[in-house]
Amino acid sequence: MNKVIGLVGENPNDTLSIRYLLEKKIATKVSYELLIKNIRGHQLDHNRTKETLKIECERKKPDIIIFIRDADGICTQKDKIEDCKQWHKELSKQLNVPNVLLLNIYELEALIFADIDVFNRIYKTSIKGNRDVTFIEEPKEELIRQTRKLPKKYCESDCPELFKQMNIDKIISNCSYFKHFYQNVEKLLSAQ
Amino acid sequence: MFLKSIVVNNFRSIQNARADFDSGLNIIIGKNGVGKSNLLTYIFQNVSYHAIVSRPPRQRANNVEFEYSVCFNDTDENLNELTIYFKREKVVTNNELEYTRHIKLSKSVNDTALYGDKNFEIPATTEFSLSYNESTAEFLTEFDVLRKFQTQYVSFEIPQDPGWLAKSVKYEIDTEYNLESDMLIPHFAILLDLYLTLETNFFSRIAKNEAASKIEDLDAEQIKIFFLHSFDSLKVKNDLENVLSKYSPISDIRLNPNINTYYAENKILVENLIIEFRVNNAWIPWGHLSDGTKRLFYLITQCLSVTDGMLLIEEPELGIHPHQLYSLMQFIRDQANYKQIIVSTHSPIVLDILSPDELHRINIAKLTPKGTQFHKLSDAQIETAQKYMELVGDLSHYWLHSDLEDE
Repeated sequence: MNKVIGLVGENPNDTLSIRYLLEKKIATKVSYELLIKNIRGHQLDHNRTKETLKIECERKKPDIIIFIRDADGICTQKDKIEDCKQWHKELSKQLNVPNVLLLNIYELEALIFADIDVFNRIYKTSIKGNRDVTFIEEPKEELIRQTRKLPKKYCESDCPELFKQMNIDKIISNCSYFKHFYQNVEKLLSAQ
Repeated sequence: MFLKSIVVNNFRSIQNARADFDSGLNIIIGKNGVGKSNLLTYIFQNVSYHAIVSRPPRQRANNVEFEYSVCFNDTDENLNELTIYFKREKVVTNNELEYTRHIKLSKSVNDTALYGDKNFEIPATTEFSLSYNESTAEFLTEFDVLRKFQTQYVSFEIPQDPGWLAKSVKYEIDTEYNLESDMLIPHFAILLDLYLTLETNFFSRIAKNEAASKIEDLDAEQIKIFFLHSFDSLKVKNDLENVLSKYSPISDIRLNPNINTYYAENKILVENLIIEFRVNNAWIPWGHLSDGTKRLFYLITQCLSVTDGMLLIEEPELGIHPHQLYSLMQFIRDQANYKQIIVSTHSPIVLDILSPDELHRINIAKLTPKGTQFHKLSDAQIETAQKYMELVGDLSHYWLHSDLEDE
């Protein structure tokens, strides 16, 4: 029987992007299920979202849950990172499902810098690679800035298609927090 | 009386679909383009006495096949159910395009069949009317109950020509009290009521006026005052005003006080009759109302004009502020105690009007390989919806953040 991986994120682009990325390595005998649709980041803190999650867990019975959040700060902004971890810890207590948090340092777009060749090829840019993505402030703004005068301009909604083409192994090797997250997902799945 | 079910064949996105309804309020949800409006249009065009008995407008005179059931209580409070199957087909006879009609009726009382199917074949006629014979007489008798079943439809757009609301009306009254006006029959049903009762009220005021038993005894100013007072004392106007002030930004309506009255060739001419609306303490004409206020007025007046039958409303939320929409839904809910109201919507506020024991009032429209289909919530969906209402607060949360329409 397929294992069900439940996804909860700040918006549909984030969850779909991570799903496309993970499917490159975790695709057999699993199915991905979006647990809460049409949600925005700030709503994740609300009690009613937590109640929604409980109802959807009962209905969709995920084997594991992946939470995807943006820290809105770089790796040195410990307070922001800690806030998100605390949110996850509190939520975990209320759910009877093994779960893991993908805490994007600053935001999801940071991962695009971990395999920047794909972006450069699609948008005809020449953004420098080999950067520590955990130090990039406002990565989305940077991508918008870089493409502002180009025929093809970056939009947030481009993320899922970009992630479809990105190399997950490169991201694992270039991004420490994603590597840690991926290892946790594997661990949880093998424990099921 | 209410529409219990309808089976629609070959109409736009609908190939063959059945929709079931309850008395009172019904809410249809579904994504864009799945066929919600098609169903409402079809019901409006076909669920009536005249749709079957009368000649259809040229643009709708095509092949039609449908079946529907209506329920009503008789004088002894028995629940009657009348099921009508109707098929109209084009035939060409002597190079003339004509139509044959096949109508099948069945009736039950308190769920017990009163009689088996009664079939009526109406052969092609160029007149396209029921020729009166024994068979059609029986048909008309059985079918007569539908005569009083009114149907009004509030679609996306309000009528382009709202008649009396948008342009002034001219009356001519001769000394024999014959009255002529250049007003066309308004699209807004309630205005017809206003118009007719205004005339009656006006003439009864003249009749009661002892000082002027003849119309020529009245001066122009008196005529003007009669018109204004007649309008102000209309029950239909006052009832409408009460509702409008509660559920719309319109707090009052009146006849424009600058009516022109004068004598010409043994006739009294009354010109510049036009309705004005009080919004934010200012009197303004129809053309100055916002689009949202116009639609509110249209929706409210159409709803009030149905006394026994059905009101079909396409997306009541269009152009309406959320607070106003809450209040409008309260009005619709109240009105649904007395008539059937079928609403299509994309608005969470509209769906949230339902309580946990009213979830059977939801119809979900979906586009499938078999065309548009309609279904009520399954037991599992009702259970989940009730959980959402209890634990999360709103039914719409289930709609917005889960898969209510996709299951």
